[in-house]
Amino acid sequence: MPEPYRLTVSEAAKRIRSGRLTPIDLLESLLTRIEELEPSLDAWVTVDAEGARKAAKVLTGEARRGKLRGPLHGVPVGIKDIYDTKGLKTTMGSPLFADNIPERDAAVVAKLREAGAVILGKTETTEFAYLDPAPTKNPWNTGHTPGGSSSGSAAAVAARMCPLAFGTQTGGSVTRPASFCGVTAMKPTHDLLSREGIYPQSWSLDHVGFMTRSVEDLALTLGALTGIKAKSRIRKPRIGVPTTYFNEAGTEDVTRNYLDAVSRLRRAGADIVESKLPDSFRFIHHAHRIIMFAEAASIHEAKFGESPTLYRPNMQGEIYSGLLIPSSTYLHAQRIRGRFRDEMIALMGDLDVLVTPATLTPPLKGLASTGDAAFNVPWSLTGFPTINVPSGLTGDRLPLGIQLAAKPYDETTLLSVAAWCESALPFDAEPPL
Amino acid sequence: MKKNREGYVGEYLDLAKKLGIGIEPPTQAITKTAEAAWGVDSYDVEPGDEPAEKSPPRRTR
Repeated sequence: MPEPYRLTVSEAAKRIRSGRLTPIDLLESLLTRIEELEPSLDAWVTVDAEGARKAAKVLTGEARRGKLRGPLHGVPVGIKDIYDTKGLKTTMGSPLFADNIPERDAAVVAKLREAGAVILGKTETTEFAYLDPAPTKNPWNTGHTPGGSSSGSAAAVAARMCPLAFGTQTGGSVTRPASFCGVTAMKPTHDLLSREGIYPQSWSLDHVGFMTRSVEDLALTLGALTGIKAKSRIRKPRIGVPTTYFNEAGTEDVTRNYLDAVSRLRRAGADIVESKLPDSFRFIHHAHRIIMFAEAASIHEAKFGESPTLYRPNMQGEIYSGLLIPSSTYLHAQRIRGRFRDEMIALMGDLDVLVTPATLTPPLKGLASTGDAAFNVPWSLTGFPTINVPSGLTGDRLPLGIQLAAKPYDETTLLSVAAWCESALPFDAEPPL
Repeated sequence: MKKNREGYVGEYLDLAKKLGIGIEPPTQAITKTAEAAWGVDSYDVEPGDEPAEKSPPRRTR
């Protein structure tokens, strides 16, 4: 058997169910891995070894007696440090919350515990899940950003420090770091998973999301939280390919990899359909910025008024700018959003998914910027569910991915097509750790 | 009459100045936001799709 830290969620859960692995052995293997790699990656704000051992011990005893709480029984999970975790420090990446210890779990964390998961610790986030970077490095090359804002979650899953980690997305904060770190990730439909107990960046745009190392694990995790299952098998997916923007705005290596991936999907049997983006698409990045800034300013106005210097520069810019936006402009942006969403639902018609590159660029050099969310913004704005599937490496061996988007609440089709694409685009490379 | 892009940027920067906001990168953020406001306001849509909390429509098939 491979070292337990190398197991995916599905593999680990299966072994625990059959008695071939105990939750405590799995946890100890991951804690050793974290101890080895954390000094060079900075993926964690808090590793709750004591709390996790306590939970894993109880779950080990229960598994021995044949009692399994749910599909994630004994599986350790990383949680982005903007989710409330009862009794465990939750900082939002900000000095304003440096000593914050929540009294309750966020709704998703409570559900994870019910499903048998072990909360391993809190992963690094950019400040308030915006742009001011976390200290986390990319496991594929520590001189490059892992992306953000769910930086620690993506790096931890890629580095085999945990098989599953949770993040959030307001612009591209799940898909981008997942793509930059070469892992799979899912952002379900906007309100499918509760955001209760998660510090908001922009309430009408924020999404819960999670990262694993296979589409099978995404399906298992979503199933554990919602009961939703993937369709059993899909033979010939109908995949839309936008005829503009996504095939021309990215860097050369991103575009080359994307077009190659589309060719491989076609050769594997997919029905590839050219899809013309609606006229409103030209305005959606503006609308996203207006909505995000206005809502963030509203959330932070009081705290910012008291302690503006405790916010980092990008957050300062977001709040200052948001405070200047007239309500009429905010509402106009929401109307554009509504029109774009309706037009995209019509465009998707009988398509199973749309495919685009996951990111505008490969992981950027240095840690000053977490990258650009431009390719992810349309799906944060519409609330459509998305999945990132790794699709290759650059010449410098940095990961690239494709982003699949489906109609709202069609997670079953999305997961099935993503599994099909994963088979058609095999990716077995690992970070050089 | 609708303002042009420069009108938006100038107005935002004037307002920011009055409020004492002048350090970088907030000024860059304010300029980009003014451009976004111009972009949003230059696209004609009718009321009807707000409010902000509206969720995407339930599954369509």
